[in-house]
Amino acid sequence: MRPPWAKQSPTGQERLAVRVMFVVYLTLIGAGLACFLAVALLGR
Amino acid sequence: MSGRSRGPARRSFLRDNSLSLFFLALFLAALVGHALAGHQLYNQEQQEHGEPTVGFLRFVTSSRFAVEVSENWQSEFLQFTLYILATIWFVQRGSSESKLPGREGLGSDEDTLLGRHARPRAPRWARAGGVRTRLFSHSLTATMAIVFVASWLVQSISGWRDFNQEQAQHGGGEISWGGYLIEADFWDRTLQNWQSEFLAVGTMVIFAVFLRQRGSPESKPVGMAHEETGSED
Repeated sequence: MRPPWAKQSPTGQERLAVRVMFVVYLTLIGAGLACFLAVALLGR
Repeated sequence: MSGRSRGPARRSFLRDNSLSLFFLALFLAALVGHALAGHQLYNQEQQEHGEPTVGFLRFVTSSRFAVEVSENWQSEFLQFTLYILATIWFVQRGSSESKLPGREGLGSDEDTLLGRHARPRAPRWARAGGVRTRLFSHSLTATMAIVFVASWLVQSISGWRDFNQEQAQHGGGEISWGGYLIEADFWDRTLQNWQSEFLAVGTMVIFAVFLRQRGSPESKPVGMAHEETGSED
């Protein structure tokens, strides 16, 4: 049996939180790669 | 706040996103651990070769650290890119990771809830049709593939810089970036990561036929027959 909260459709705030997680991951990967590329191109 | 207090809202955020938060925390902890251990190892090597040691900040902004992180990133994103693609056309009877034999391919608009089959809350681009729907239909693979290619490129450039620094320390000549792409160092770093990813994925596909984990969506239900494919309707 699924708990009662799982049957409710998510609120706007809950949907926003999931989007935030998506953006956090995407930003982390993009920023990480950009930093590593900069480090390598600067010849450190 | 829709009449909710902050306490339940925070609990809801943690509960709804616990899987991505868990892996985010593990990732950050492992990255910090890698930086600490890598720094110590680098300085040990420097001392053995009679070279000056470097500070932590200098190490984490070095080509050595960049190549070690990016070579692992590229292989993970390659793994997922290939897995998503391969499971479109290849099947494994009995595996929870596979579609049913006979269901290979991209599927119909009805199967994939596209166009007029889209559900009321479907993403706008799933309903839009044309180029936007085609792009959105492949956005997961495309994004993973872009991260793979970008990580591999970063690995090649940072690996090249690190390789040339090593060469300089040992009195060897510098090589071009193109030259590094056919160096054993580049392919050693690349293939040592790829082999482990491919083994792990293949293992998961076939182990999921005969083994179970109660409660995990990555497993078939414990009582399901071995020959039943997990993602059957």
